Amino acid sequence: MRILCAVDESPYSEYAIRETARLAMNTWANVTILGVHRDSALVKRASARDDVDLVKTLRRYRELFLTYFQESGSPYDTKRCGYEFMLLANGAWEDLYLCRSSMKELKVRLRAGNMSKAILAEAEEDESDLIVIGCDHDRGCIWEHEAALPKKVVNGVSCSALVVTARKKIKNILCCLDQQSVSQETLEMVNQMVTIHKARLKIVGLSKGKELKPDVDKSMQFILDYYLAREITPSISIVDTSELESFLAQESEQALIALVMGKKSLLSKTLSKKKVDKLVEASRSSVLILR
Amino acid sequence: MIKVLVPVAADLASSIALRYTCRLAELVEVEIQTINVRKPSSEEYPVGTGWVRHTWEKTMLQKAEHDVSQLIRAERAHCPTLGEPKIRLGDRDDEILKELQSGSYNLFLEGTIPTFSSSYFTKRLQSHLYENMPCPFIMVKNLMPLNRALLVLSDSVDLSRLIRIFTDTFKKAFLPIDLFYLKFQEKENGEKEKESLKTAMDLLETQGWVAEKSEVIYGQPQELAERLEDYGLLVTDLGRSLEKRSPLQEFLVATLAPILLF
Repeated sequence: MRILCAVDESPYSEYAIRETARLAMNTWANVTILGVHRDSALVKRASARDDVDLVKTLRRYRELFLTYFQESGSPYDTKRCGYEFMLLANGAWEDLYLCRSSMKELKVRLRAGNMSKAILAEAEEDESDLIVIGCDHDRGCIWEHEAALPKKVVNGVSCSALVVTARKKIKNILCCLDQQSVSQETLEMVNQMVTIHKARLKIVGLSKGKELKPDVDKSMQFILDYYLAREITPSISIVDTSELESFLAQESEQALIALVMGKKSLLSKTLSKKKVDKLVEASRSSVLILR
Repeated sequence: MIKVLVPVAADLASSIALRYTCRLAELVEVEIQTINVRKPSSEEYPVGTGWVRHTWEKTMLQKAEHDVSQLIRAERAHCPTLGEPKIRLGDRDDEILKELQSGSYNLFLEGTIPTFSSSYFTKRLQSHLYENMPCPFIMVKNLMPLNRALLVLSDSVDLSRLIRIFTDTFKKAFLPIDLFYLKFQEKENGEKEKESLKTAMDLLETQGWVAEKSEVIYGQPQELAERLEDYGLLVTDLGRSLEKRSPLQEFLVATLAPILLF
C-alpha cells in the first residue's frame, strides 16, 4: 500500500501525520510526506532551502512519524548493518558485514508551485493508494494558503482520500457501502479504521423504499460475514437513498464517514461532487472516500 | 424448554434472526421452528381449480423450500438443532399468526433491520401480527453478542408483568442481567424510581435471578439508546397502546440492540 500525506505548517497537518503513522503501524505502508511551497525560486536555491520553514516542518514531521515506531521496531529504518553468515559458492559460510536498506519507504518530498496541482501530480506519479490530508474544520475544512485545496484534492485524485480532523474522538466508523461491487481492499481499509480508532463499525445499506434489493441484501450478508470472521460485530441499518444526505449530516457528528465512490457505485450516482464537498466541509469528523 | 418460532426467507434479516436464535440456544434449552411463507404474485395464481391448483401449490411450496434450504443448511453448521422449516403459502403475517396461535409457542423471534426512518419500526409494531401476538417476541435489529441482558423499567412499564414474563421465558438461562430505570429527563432525586428498582430486585430474587447492576439513569431517548447499545438483549413492556409516541418508544426505535417485548 502507498500512502501520500499532504501537509503544510498548520496544526491540522500535524494531526494528519499522526493519523498516517497510526495507519502505517497497522499496514506497514510505503509513505510519502509531501509539502508544497508557493515560491519555486526559493525552493530551487540550495543555499536557502534549509532555512525555509516548510522544509524544517517536513523534517520535524518525519521525526514525529518515526516516533510511532520506536517500541516495535521500524520498517522504515534506513539502514541496518551487521555481521551475517552468508553461503558462498564453494559451500563455505563467511561472516560478512552487510547493510540492508529499509523494508518500507518513508519519503519526504518538497514541490513548488500551485499546491493542489502539485499534490495531485505527486499522487499520480507515486501511484498512491490513499491520500491523507488534514484541514481546518472550524472554518469549513480549508487550508491556510489555499482554502479550497482539500475539496480539490478529494475530487481530483483517483485513489482513496482521507480528510482528517482532530475535533472529536471517533466513536463510530459509518460505512456506506456500494453493495454491487465491494473490493477486498475497501473492506480491509474500513477494518483498519475500526482497529486504529477502536471504534464501532456501522454498515449502511442503501435502498429505494424500505427494503433492500436482493443483490444488495446478498452483498450485505457477505460483508457481515467478512467482519464477523474478523471478530468485528458491525451494526447494520438501511437508509433510503432519498434520505442519505440527512442521514450523513446527522451521523457526521460522532462518526468517521466512509463512502465507497467507485465508478459503478450507487453512491457516486446519489452524491454529486458538490454534495461530497458539502459533506467534507460540514462534517464534524473525518471523512474517508474509498475508490 | 422454550419453543421459538422464527420466520425465515433468503435474506439478511432472516440470517441475523437465525444466528441470534442459535446464540440464545447456547444459553437456554430451545426448540427452534422456522417458517417460510411465500406470497405468490398475482401473475402466479393459476386459473384452474382442483388438481391444477393442487399441482401449482405443490410447485410453489417446493420453490419456497429450495429458497430457504440454503440458508438453513448454512446455519446448521453453527446450530445443529435446526430442523426443517414449515413452508406455507399466503399472506406472511396471517400465516405466521395462525402458526403461533396453533403451535403453543413461548417466543417469537424476527429479524428487523433498523431504518433511518423510524416510522417503519412503529408500523411493524402496529401490524396485525404484533397487535395479536400471543406470546413474547424479540425483534432482532442486529446480531449482538448475547452475553448480557438489560431489563428496562420506565414510568409506563408494568414492573410485575415485566419480571414475571422475563423469568417465565428465561427460566434456567445462564444470562447475566442488569436492571435500569430509564428517566427521559434531567437528573433529579429519583426516590420513587429507586423504590421501583428495589421492588423489581426483590421480585427477581424470588425467581432466583440477581441483577448485577441496578440504577436510575437519565437522558434523552437517543442518547440513552447509544449508551446502552452494547447489551445483547433489552427487555421491556411497551404496553398495548402505540398511538401516542412516548419517550420509551423513541428509545426502542433508536436502539440497535435486540428487544424483547410483550
